Amino acid sequence: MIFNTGAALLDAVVLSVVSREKEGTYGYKITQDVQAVISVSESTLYPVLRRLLKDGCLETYDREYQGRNRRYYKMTASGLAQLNMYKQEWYEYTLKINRLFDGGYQDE
Amino acid sequence: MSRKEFMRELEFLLQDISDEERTEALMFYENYFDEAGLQNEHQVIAELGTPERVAAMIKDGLKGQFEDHIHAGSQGFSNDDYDKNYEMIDVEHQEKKKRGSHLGDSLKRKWDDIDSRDRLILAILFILIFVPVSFSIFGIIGGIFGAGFSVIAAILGVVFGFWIITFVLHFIAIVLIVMGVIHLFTIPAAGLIYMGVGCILIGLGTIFGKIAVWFFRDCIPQLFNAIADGLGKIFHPRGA
Repeated sequence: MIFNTGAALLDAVVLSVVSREKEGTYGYKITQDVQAVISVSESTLYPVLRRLLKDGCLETYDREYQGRNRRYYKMTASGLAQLNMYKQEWYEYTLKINRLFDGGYQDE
Repeated sequence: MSRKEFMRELEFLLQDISDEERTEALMFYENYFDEAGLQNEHQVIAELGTPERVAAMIKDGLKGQFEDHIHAGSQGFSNDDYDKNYEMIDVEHQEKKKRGSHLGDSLKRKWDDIDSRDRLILAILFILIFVPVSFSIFGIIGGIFGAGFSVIAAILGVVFGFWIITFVLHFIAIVLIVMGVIHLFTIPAAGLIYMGVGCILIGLGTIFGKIAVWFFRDCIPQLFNAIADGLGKIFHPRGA
């Protein structure tokens, strides 16, 4: 089953994965962390990260690791706010849909 | 396809975006390969897909169109559209690829995907199989040519004599030697066999050529003389 609501959801998932690392995390690890939970094509992550960066949700810094440069992605304040908005939206949205599907089964 | 080739193609395909964006994207994927490690190189390339696919996503991302293609579901996120049509592929590049032989490309790609130890084993196996097979192929071809030649020689031999055989043998010899030179770089043993057979055929061709020369220069005039003599004897008997 495929829903055409993937773009915002993918943003939310990537933001959530990055937000788990206080020091920030790097491209390969973000992909691995997302893939550990849900399948995503490796080539999908770059455009998402690039845009989140431009939107100011993420920021980068470079650090040397084993003699080469490693680019870290880190949450910004506005990224955190965006993530919280996504989470809130998701909870409310899925709650409503679940209610509808289950005919009040999950009504509390 | 190796990491180097992948990155080179990606760089080529990203020529038409700004320097800054291209540097960013290439750095991201260089980093990505570094992190994945050498042993995962082929796996990463397999998962990324073709450079065309990756380039199309990067460019759509810059245009803000990338989001349109993402679908979410229990199977995860997908963007199948990119597997079906790469809207952003450079036409020139596509044509460049078309000119190259597809079979060669795909074989080469498969070859690149095999790790070096397996390659050695494959190469040895190939030689072990190819050498006997090539011998039997030569046998069969030789047989066919032999049968063909005897029929052709019987029919045409009377008319054109040995010239045709001389020509055909030389032609086959040249073809075989050219094949031999080509194979010399890939399968030296087979190359040498080709060239050797080619040389033998040149020798045979030359013998046939000599026979032909002898036949035309010496035999036929004598034959004519003999016939003329005979006719002369019949029509102008000495006694008359």
